[in-house]
Amino acid sequence: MAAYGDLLEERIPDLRRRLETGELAPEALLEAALERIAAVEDRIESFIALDPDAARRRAAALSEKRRRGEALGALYGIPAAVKDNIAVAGLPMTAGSRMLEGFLPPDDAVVTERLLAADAVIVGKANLDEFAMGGSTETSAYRTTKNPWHPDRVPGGSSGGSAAAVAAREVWYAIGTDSGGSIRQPASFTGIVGFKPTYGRIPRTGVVAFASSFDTVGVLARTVEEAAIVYDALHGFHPSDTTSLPRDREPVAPTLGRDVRGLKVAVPTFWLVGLHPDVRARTEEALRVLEGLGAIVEPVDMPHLAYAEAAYTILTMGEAASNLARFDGLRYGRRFSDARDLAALYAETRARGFGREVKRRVLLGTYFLSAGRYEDMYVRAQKVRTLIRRDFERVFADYDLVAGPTVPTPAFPLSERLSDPVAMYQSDRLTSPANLAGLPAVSVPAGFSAEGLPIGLQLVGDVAEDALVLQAAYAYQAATEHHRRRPAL
Amino acid sequence: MAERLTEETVQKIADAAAIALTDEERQTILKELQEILDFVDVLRAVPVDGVEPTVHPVPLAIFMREDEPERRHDREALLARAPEAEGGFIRVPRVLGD
Amino acid sequence: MAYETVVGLEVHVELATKTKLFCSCRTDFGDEPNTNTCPICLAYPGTLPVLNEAAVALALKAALALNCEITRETKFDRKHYFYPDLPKAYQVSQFDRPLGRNGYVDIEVDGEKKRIRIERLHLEEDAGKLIHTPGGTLVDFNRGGVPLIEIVTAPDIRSGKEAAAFLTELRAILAYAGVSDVRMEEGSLRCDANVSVRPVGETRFGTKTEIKNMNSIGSVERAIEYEAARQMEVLAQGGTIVQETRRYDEARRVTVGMRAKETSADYRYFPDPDLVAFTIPEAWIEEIRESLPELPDARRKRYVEEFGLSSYDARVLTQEKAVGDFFEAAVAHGGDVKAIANWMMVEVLGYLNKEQKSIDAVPMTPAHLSRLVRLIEDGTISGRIAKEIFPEVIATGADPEALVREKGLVQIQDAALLEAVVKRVLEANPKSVADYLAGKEKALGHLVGQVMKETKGKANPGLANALLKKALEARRGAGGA
Ligand SMILES: [Zn+2]
Repeated sequence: MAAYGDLLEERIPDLRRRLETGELAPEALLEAALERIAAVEDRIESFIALDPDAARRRAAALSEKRRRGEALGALYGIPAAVKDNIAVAGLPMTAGSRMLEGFLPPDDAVVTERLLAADAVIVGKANLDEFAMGGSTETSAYRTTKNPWHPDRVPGGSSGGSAAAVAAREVWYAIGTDSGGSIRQPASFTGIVGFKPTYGRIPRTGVVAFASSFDTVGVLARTVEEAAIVYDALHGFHPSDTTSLPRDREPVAPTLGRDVRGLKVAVPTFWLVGLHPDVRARTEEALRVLEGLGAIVEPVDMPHLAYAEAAYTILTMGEAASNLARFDGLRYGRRFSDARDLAALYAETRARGFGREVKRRVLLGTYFLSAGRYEDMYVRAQKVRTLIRRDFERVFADYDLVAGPTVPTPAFPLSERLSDPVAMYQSDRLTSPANLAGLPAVSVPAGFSAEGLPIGLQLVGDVAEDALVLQAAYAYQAATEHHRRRPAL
Repeated sequence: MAERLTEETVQKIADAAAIALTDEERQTILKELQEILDFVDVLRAVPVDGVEPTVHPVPLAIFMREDEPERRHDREALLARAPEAEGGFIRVPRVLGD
Repeated sequence: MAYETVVGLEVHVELATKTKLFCSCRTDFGDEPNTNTCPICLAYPGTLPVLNEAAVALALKAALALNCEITRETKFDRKHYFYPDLPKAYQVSQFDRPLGRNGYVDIEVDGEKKRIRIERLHLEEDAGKLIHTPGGTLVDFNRGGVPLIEIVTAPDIRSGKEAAAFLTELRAILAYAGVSDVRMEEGSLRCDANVSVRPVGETRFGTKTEIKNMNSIGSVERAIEYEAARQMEVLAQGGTIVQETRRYDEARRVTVGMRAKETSADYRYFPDPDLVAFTIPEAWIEEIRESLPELPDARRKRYVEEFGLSSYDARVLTQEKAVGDFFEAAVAHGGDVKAIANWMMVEVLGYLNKEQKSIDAVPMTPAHLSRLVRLIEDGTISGRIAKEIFPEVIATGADPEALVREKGLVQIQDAALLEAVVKRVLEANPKSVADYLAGKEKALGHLVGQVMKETKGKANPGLANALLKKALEARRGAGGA
């Protein structure tokens, strides 16, 4: 037990060294994770599906691989969680929805293939808001994940299961998706690192689409270094996703530690208003830390950020209505109707298969795309998206990074915002701009509220400047201790 | 000022989205949708004349595949996922022939 | 009141690619149901479309062959509707940036030339196939996702006949360009017609109906004629035309109104965020333009100018590219062009028509046809013998020359040999001889026939004729029989 406890606090690079020498076996590391999961999972409920036996077989196969003297991957033997809107062949993929209950994806997602190619061990599928729509993981049809720092608080969402699993030390890292803050917001709420790369850096193939031009696969881990190691194993173009981007010029992890002196950091004034006082205070402190590291921090005006949430709402709902039209109970998934009339079968299946939040968004998305509203609302929102991109372009002409808090508040109480969609959407207002503009962004632990809830600092870079974002976050983390505190579980 | 939704409009949207609504749901959803519509109405304040709409946030190069057949899945495995299949077909309630 | 018919056509053509538009499934027609499917074309969650370059190239080729302007900055849009044959519940199509615009096809009807404008040509994916049974509807997605081009004409067509001429020419052009196999019966070419009528002289359009379910060019022609007459009748009775979709019933040769949709469809088009908008390089367009073969219109002109064929003959021989290719190959092997053209039009096309075969499917080669014609020209065989052996030549690919020799069909050219036969025939047919000498020239024909019969058709008919005449005249000179 004690030995396992120690293992849980070790970082991936150290574990990876010990696994490579054979001092530590993948089976032993996995057992540490499984034991931890057994101990805390009933309180946290991070996972929709766990498959300890498959994970054990995998760990044994990896041990065998080492015995054969084969080259070992970057994530060799390190247990991970994968958000349940990402396909892992052999495990069901529900996307948190009744509609896909029991659905077995025929193939691995590209990101899963790459995880496995790096010799990772996948222990299970992490809980999420249904179809990644939500900011609290409460819209999942299966379970309510709790914040490891406080049992009555949400873990954030939609990658709340992924974030909680990492924060609760159930796994060392997790894969999530971020369309408007779904990695960064739960990372902020649970005191871990959440990295959303540039749109397209990690292929979306095998990831259940919510809003195709926003959906970005990314990483949740306890430290920036670990997030960078995982990112390095996952990013780069794949011919099955023609919206994916080429690899970074060089692996990012080895570049961490580069000097950030002279880095110019812009702080949008709009991102400092309407904040919880503790969030404001922690953000100010974090910016002072960056200055202490030699960065130049200056306020900037980005006039269109105020419209980000509205544009985000219209565009993602429109894309979601279209992407979710395929769920009709005919070719796969569940059919929730015995109707002998086709229209009734569609309508009943979709009424029962989708939860309330998903229906809300699909209905509104349908509305935004409909004749008479499309030009006026949807196209207008696409144009505002352009204006937000231009705001960033202007800033990045003079600055290297944009910084601010990740979320206006610490984790809110369970069920507080479920029936107040507008309040729920507004918790994305600081994160959705990076998705509107496709930019790389990270949330890094920046301290705690008076109640002891984690607060995150967000750093956003220009298109394809993923490495710079992680380098700055790494420098900040190296100068702070926030990430070392762990939830009392 | 955002459009004032009516139950009739909500029903039309629900029909287009193929989602059945009970009378009660229609009323609560109407309220929620209206709130969201009012919330996104702020966009009307933004001058957008002459601005190009964005579809993808980052520049992406076109990639096309070669016209080479590939078969990786067998029919039975795929059809096994369908709620109703028969003789190699997927089966659905009767559609009026047209 | 006199009315005129106004017709615009929407034609869907399946492109001759090996794989579907967005996945690597085969496009083969007639395979076992759902064997050409995959997670992408069944719209599994997490799947993404990957555009088939060959489909874009073929669509561009079609657009260029139809004289369209190319929309270089193009993209795909989603068109939404729920139906079991549409797995994603949206069809990937092109809305406001169709690949081709402002093209045309020139047709000729009753000797009059006319230009039919093409408004747009766009690339999209086909839907699956539904089979209706009493117990339910069965869905086969083999066709789902096959690349299609949709061609929309301006309302320039004024009759069923013009529509048929347009479709015939369109088919020929697309087949020449190698864009599609354009088989209406297999559904690789499908056509809907928008039909309206208006008083002659009126410039505004009347209310139109959309006619569907026409399975051949002939049925398109009949359906339009029927529908236009029906509309004129309704108007003549003081009625009004209802905008609706009507189904053509080929068996009864009428159009029937389909159940009206309660609301007009709103397809909620928007740019597909899974596919990148792209610019077609000028060099690619040029490359495709240069790869276009000679099209039917140019070929017809050449046949008239170069071969001296009539414009009718030129049209018949160019209708199908393979027929024209065969004809030209035969001409290249030698022989009289007009004779080859006649053999093609009468014997070859007659045979193909009767046997329901395409010219690629017969074993006969162009060299054979050329040889056959030359055998007649050099007097080796008669036209009659040629026609006799033709079915064997075309069906088995036998070399006509070898066949003629083998069967001993070489024409008797030797006057000495034939003179003996002539003598025998004259002696055996005294009545015909008497008739001829009495001035009934017709009797000569009978005698020639007898010579041919005696020689089993091998006599050179011209020589037989001359020898008979000479012998008969000799008898006349000798003072009668
Ligand atoms: Zn396919």
